[in-house]
Amino acid sequence: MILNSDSMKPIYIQIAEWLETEIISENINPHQKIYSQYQLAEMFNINPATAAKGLNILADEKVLYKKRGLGMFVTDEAKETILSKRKNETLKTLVVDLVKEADYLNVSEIELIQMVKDASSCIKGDGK
Amino acid sequence: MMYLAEARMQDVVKKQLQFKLKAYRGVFTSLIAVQVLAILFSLGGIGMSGGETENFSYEANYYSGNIVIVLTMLWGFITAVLLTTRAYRFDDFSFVTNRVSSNVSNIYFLIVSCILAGITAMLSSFLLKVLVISFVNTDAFVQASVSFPEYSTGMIGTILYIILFSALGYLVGMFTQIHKSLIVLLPVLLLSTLILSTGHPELIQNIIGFFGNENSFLVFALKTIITAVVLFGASLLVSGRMEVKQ
Amino acid sequence: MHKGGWEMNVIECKGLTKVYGKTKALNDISFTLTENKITGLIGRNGAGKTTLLKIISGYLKETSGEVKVFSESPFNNLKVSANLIFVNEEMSYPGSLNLGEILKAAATFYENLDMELAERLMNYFSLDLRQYHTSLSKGMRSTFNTIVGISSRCALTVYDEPTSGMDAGVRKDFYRALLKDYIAYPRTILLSSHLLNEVEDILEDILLIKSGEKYLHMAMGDLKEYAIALSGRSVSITKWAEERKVIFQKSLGAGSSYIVVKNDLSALEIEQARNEGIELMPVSADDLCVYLTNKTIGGIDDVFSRS
Repeated sequence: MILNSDSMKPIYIQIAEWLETEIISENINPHQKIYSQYQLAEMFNINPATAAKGLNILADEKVLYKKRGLGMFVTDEAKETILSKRKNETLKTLVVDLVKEADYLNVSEIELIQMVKDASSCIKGDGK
Repeated sequence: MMYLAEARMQDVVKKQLQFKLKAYRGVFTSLIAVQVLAILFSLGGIGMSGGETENFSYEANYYSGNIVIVLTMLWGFITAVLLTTRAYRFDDFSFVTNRVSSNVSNIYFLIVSCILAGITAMLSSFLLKVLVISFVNTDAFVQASVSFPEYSTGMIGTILYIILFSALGYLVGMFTQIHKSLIVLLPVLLLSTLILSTGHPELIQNIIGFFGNENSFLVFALKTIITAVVLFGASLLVSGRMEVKQ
Repeated sequence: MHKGGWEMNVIECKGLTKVYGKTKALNDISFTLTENKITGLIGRNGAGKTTLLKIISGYLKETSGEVKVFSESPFNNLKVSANLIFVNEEMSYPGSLNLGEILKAAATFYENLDMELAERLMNYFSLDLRQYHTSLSKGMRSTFNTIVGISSRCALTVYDEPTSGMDAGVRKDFYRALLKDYIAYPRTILLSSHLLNEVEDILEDILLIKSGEKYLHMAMGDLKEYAIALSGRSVSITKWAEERKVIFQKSLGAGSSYIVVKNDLSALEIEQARNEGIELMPVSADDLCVYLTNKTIGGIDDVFSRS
């Protein structure tokens, strides 16, 4: 992943999200060591302090735990935590925005639900 | 705790001197050029006298290595001025330095160059003799046959004179670096003293006499060394607060 | 390594002022830089960036106030000079030495200089050790100077607009080289630039100066959240603008406005603004610095507006 510096999201959030994706897709598993702030800094060409901030967010959310002198490791419940967070926060905000936009464009609720269903079957249909 | 490099003044000065001996090799090229030129001038002879009687005419040419020494002193003066110019001063600031170490290493560099220049100046008067005898005037008379101790004092004296001139040049150069107007003011001041003193030639004579008329070599050496130290010391004081502006 | 424990102050300025003739180049600047951080010194042309860096490097003497580098006054200080390298486009070397000889000389003065790294970088950037400094193009000269700066590994490395004249590719490579060597050998780096977007990712802190005065000194991450932009119908925007300090404002066509204010809005206020149809957007660090250092809150547009 290349960082998007024009994005609305601060770099450290982007780093945290990238690490979350690595954990969800099981590239890094529970009790495995995660990248150090210096490795992340090199990979993404950012200041190590910024990378550390991204790691600390995940530590605060109990996705990572610290072992003194050894670095940070993935917790048992990491994947679950991330998935529920994404469902409760990211998805919810997206839905709120969606409803607002629909309201702005005078799209009725029924119409909107139909659009969601269409999109869903379209994506799932492609998946088959 | 972060590790910091120690910097001792004498180490830095030593490194700067080594650096300057290498980087300012152009100074030695100009020395050679000046001395070759001086030898060529000298080959024409510095004086000539002649006479004629009814059946006999003679012509005498005087040759002397003095031109070489005078031009070398001038070279010492100009080289010292050159070292005080911006380009040379700023070169030091690209590496480890402060104003004192930069000046002290310049002074060491000048002393080394002047010693070299004094030796080559004396050697070139030898060369001059050889050239005159072999090519120009085969009937040459070598007037002065000098003993080794005399020759060494001569060489040391020459070196001291060159150092004196470069010390003067260094101070003059430093003054002009402080304020641009001094580039104009100093020569004006010098010339006006010369003009004013035409009525009273004692002043200039006294200055020259102070060094030149000294009979004891030791006292002469002491006088020049002390004067050079005072001149260099003054330059150090003058430059101590100078900023590095582009 | 970066966090925790006590951090040593590498640079301390207290009430630092520099006067040239009648103009105040620096006015009462106070800040402290701690060990092993990369700090960006940002400001417009003539804001006093170079003067500040030259005082820190011991080139210039402060008029009043106090400046300490490694706890010592930098002017005429050998210890400071031995542990600091100042890279700027005016760096001069004797014309008689080629680049290889200059590097060798630098290695005698800077004991941490990594000659192998210097030579590998020279090779990468197509610089020949036998070339002469004066015969290089402006960009190549900057490249060489930055190579000396990186490979000398001084405890304090000061860059004044290091990338001037470099092409975009070399700039990127230089900043990456700087970051990689910093990660391997942490040191304090102070870097001036007027192109913030070029360096913001590798900075930890930012020091913003405006007309010779310190304007901001904060973590880069905080700067990105320092301000927020509100965009919407002028009627509702004006109400929001009244209550707070406007950093920048611009009218967009008839009836809509865009303003940048300090980001101290509560969650409730954000919700309220959204409900009034106001769009809230973050402000990029680069834009924010331009807005903060503008003379007027409308910027250049104010020159053209005749109302």
